[in-house]
Amino acid sequence: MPRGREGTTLISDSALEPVLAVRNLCVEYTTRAGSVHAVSDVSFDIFPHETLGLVGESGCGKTATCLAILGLLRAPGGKVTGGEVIFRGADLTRLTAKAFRRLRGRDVSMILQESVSALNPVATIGRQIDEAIKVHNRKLPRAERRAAVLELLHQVGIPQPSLRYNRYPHELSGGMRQRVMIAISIANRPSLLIADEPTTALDVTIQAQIVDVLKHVQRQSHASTLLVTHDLGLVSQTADRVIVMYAGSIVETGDVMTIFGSPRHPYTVGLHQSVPRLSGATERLTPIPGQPPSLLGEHTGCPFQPRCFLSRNRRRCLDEAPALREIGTVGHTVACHFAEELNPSTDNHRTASRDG
Amino acid sequence: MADVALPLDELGAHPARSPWKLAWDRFRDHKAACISAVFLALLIVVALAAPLISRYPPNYLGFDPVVGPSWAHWMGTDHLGRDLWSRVIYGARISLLVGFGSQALAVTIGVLVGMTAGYFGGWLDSILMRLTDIMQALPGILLAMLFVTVLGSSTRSLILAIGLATWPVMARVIRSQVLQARRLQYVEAAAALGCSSFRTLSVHIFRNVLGPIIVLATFGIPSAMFTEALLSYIGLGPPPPSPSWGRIISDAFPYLEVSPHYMLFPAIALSVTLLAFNFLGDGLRDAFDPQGAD
Amino acid sequence: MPVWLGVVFLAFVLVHSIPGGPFDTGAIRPPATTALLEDHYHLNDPLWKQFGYYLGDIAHGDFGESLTRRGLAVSDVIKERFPRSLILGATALIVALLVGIPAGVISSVRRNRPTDYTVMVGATLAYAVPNFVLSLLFILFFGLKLGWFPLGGWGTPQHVVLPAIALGLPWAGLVARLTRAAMLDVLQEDFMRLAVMKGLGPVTVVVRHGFRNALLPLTTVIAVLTVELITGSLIIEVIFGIPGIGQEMVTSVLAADYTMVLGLVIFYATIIFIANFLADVSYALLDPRIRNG
Repeated sequence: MPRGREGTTLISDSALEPVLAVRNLCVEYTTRAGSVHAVSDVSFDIFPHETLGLVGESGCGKTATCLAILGLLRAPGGKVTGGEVIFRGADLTRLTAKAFRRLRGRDVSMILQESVSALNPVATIGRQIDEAIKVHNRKLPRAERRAAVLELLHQVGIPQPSLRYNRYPHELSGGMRQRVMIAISIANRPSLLIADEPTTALDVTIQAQIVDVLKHVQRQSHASTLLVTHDLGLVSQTADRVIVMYAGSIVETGDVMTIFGSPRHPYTVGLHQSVPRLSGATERLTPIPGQPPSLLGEHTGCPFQPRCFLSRNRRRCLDEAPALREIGTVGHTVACHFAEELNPSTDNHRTASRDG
Repeated sequence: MADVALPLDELGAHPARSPWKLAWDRFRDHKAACISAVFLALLIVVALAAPLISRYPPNYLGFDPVVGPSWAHWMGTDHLGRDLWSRVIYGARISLLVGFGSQALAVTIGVLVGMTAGYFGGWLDSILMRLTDIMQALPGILLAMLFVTVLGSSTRSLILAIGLATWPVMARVIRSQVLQARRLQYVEAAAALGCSSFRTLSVHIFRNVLGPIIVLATFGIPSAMFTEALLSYIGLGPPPPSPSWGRIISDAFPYLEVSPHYMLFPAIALSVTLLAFNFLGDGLRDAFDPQGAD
Repeated sequence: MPVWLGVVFLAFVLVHSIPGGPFDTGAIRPPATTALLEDHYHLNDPLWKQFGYYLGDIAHGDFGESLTRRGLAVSDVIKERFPRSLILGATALIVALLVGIPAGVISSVRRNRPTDYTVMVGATLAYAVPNFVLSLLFILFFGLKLGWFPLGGWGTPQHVVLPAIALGLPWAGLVARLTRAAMLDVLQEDFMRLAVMKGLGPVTVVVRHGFRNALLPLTTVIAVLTVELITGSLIIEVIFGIPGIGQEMVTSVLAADYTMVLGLVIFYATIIFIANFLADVSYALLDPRIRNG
């Protein structure tokens, strides 16, 4: 059985309906030089109450995926060119604008990247949270809305909410603004919360605080969370399952223990090896050589091949793009032709558990 | 985690382009600007070749007055019996002369004042900026009118007057460029290496200031032409029989109902020229500073 | 304050530089009378001393008398004519904003589509056609041919329509272009995305979040506009025969009525200063970031 956080068991078979099911999603950006395939054939599910981490370096398509889910891609910036996003039985890619407006901020919401600039500079933070509530609760009287805003501010850990209500964004610190952003996104108790790099723009000490706020909020609301980040540490602390993306496609998925304990894709292995650790022997950092590929135009073969230590320029890697397939434990999938050559111990583990 | 992200080179396939080439490409995208550039080039050629193209001397009185366009008179005649086409062409000369001349003067004074103020700073800067403030405190047309009354009405004094009224804005732009350039680290570095700071500044400023100044001047020309036409209209421009467009329009107004062509030709000529310069300015501005472009 | 003084001094110097003294009107006078007049007006004193006298007079609100129309006080003329120019300018401002701002906003939202191009071309056309040509065409068309509006003069609301439109329309073109540029800058900001994320409708997003932020850079333009409209009506007043201060300025310059010209110039300068000051104030009011330092 796949293992979740702290040894709890996750049930990931079809007994539970996923909150969000993404199938074969493709997103393209049109630029002067041609079309850029930001997201290629991405599929994943998010189940109730779970936190799914979406990991990858800048430009791998994580943010594009989030924006695509919420219909926030801006043409000519980007367009969904294929696939479906199924939320509560409806395909979001085919949703009318009006229906989308009802959905956004209420059933699905997003904590935007760069919260420092994501708040309207000319409105008080109280007004901004109030607006988020008001748009979906027109009949709620003003006094109750205000109470709700104060409660939200309290929930995200902002001291003296009634004083802070009338403050403008530029009067708050980065950490405070991020808490306000979180308050806005949970205001209407969404069933799916998308957090796009929630800690990236903050100091390290503040990051820890925000992680606590996020965890607290998750516990309280039982929402599912899609946590998008390039920070492996954050993922290991908060996610139940993890998806690793590279150059617009998924290269590995699995529960957090497996991805961190026994990764099976050379890219994931490379990521782990390039993270500095405080404990253990001091050794040189081994970065992944080379650069991410251009997403312009069509490519053949595995996109990671030029930087892969496992490939050794084997024909199959150059000719055939690997598809996601199961390996090792249930729920662990990888997109590599030669994944078996990594960490063979897991295979034995599976055989062992089957036998005994 | 150490960020292994390296920027995606989406345009990796393209060869590097110099800033001038980039600007030229952007300019070419702007259709209206390109058409305007062609039109203005033609206009300048026409104005220069006026003695060759006009069919009759512009001040020759002898034809039937206020006759409509015909084969003999392409634009008809004016109220005193002069060929309108010839007058309009010669009028283009005046407009273009005043337009270019005044802006050339404004740029020259602006550069002098701006460079001095920015480079030397201190009390010199304060005085010069005060002077600029004073000049900018009055509306340009008013200032130009006052200067013209002092200097007299002729094409030359018009150039002088309008140039004097417009240099402040150029001076400000140049001064701010100088100030920016002084703060740049590589200028300090060059000075540390022993290069004359004046040289480095001048080269750098020149490169950076060229774009905005060209744009300003390109927008300043139609403004100057407008002022010239306006002053001519109220009678302060080159005296009769000078065929300044403004004066022709003023002469033509009483005949507007009877012979609209008389006023319409110079009016259209003026409007189209102004429009062309404005489009050209748009194209140049977008070419040099794509931030504001689409 | 020193700038204002500088302006006054500049005007003073200019007016006094005009070739031919103020009494070269061609009237035949015995030399003794001329000498008396010159003495009375301190014309034989050095320039800076004359300036001193002048400032003293202004401090008492005395701008002197018109040189060509005896007994007519400059301040009276200003008092009588300025309100008319003000009405004209204010109406033109309303025209410029009411036409220009929506045009710019719509253009920015429909960026690069046919609507955008049409509006922007229209705006450039409006800006490029000289306003006096526009006025003449209006008079021809709406006044003479259609007879909807009077051809000139002042007195009824109908008298204001054509000149206000002729004055305001070119500025509407400029306002449209600047609004569009400001909106485009704002539309790509992150907080716009946040507004959409909350589930707000497109109009609310554009107006409450977008335009409200685009308003800031626009305020500077509106300030400039106000100044231009009060003072730029010179030619419009002349063409439409409106008895405002613009018409007076032109007449005075042509008639060499120097005291009048000087008084009017000073008046203009003062108005401009006040307008700029008000603009700074409103900028602070609109942007909380400036307010709190």
